[in-house]
Amino acid sequence: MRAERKKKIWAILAIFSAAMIVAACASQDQSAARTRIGGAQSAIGQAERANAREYAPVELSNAKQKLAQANKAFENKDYVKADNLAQQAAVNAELAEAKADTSKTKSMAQTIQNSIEDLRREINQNANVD
Amino acid sequence: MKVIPTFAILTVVAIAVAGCATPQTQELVQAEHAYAEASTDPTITRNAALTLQEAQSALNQAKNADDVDVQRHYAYLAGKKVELARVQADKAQTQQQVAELEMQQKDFLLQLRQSRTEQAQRQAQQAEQELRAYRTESMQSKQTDAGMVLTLTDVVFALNQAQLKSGAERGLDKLADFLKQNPERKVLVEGFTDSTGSDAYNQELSEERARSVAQALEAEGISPARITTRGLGERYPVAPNHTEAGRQQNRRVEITILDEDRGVEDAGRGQGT
Repeated sequence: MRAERKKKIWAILAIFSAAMIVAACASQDQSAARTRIGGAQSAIGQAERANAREYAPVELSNAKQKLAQANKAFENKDYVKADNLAQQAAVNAELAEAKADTSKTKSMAQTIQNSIEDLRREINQNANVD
Repeated sequence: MKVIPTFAILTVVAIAVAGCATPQTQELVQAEHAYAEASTDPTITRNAALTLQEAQSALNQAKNADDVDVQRHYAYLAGKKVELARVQADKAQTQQQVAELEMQQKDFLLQLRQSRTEQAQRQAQQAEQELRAYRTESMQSKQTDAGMVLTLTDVVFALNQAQLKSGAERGLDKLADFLKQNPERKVLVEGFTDSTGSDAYNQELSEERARSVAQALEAEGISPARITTRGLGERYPVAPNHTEAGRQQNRRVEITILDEDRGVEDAGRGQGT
């Protein structure tokens, strides 16, 4: 009687710890996915502040789409998928920001180029006044 | 005895598993190709080394993936990282270009400033030359301590008249041009008469003559603030008043173009000379 009871307790303990381990792994996946989604969100915010909406609309909308899918997967408790999608969203946001920055730098170069042309013209005019 | 066959079977299985590891997806092939291309581009390796490294590590994860979906995921990331590295390299190059252009711009600005100064000097010189040429044509002039004095005589004023003759107005153009080119210079305009008539009448006539010259200059666009007028009547004759030729010389307006550092106070005849 006593031995049987002991067995039962052990069995319960074993099942409980297995459940704990599974739960722990699941919650690890969940928190990793949550962190990744947060990272993607802030990357998108950064891209928007860099005017990606204007300069890199395709990449920005890719990022947002991936983020929406990641959130959906997270709701469905598919944390690995959510994690991956958030990672893809983040890399698209990074790309959008870099493209926006590059475009702005290029237009700045163009502006300076134009001003140099104006200066050159005026200098030539002054020289030809004689 | 039984150990050896078991080991052999395991080995065969392991080789089989390794051999038919996850099949290469098109995404992986493309990412590998893109990475290979970017990693041999010196502008990318120089300006986006870190991102290229991230692409490589994603590519390795894709190659080692034991599942097609995982492989696709990492291949996707690798491809995007390569694209990012390209954009970053482009940005770095453009930034360098901007820095160079800014240097050029600064240089041109300096040149422009110099050429403007030279142009202004040329114009001022030209105006001064024209004025000197003009004064020999229709005005008497002399250099005094305060500046150059131009004398407009009877040629420009009729007897008892303060109105400038039409030709004289045109002649003042040159003086106006000179003043426009030299905006810091001021003029003192002084009117004089001969001794005919009463002192009071002559005083008034001399003031009016000075004023009409000032008005002609103002009509040319010279600010009234730069022109001081003064009437000195029949005082300070430059010739004897008992001959008509002398009186003619005394009916005059003197315009002193004050030197740059001179004020009205220490110029002209009004100073009790």
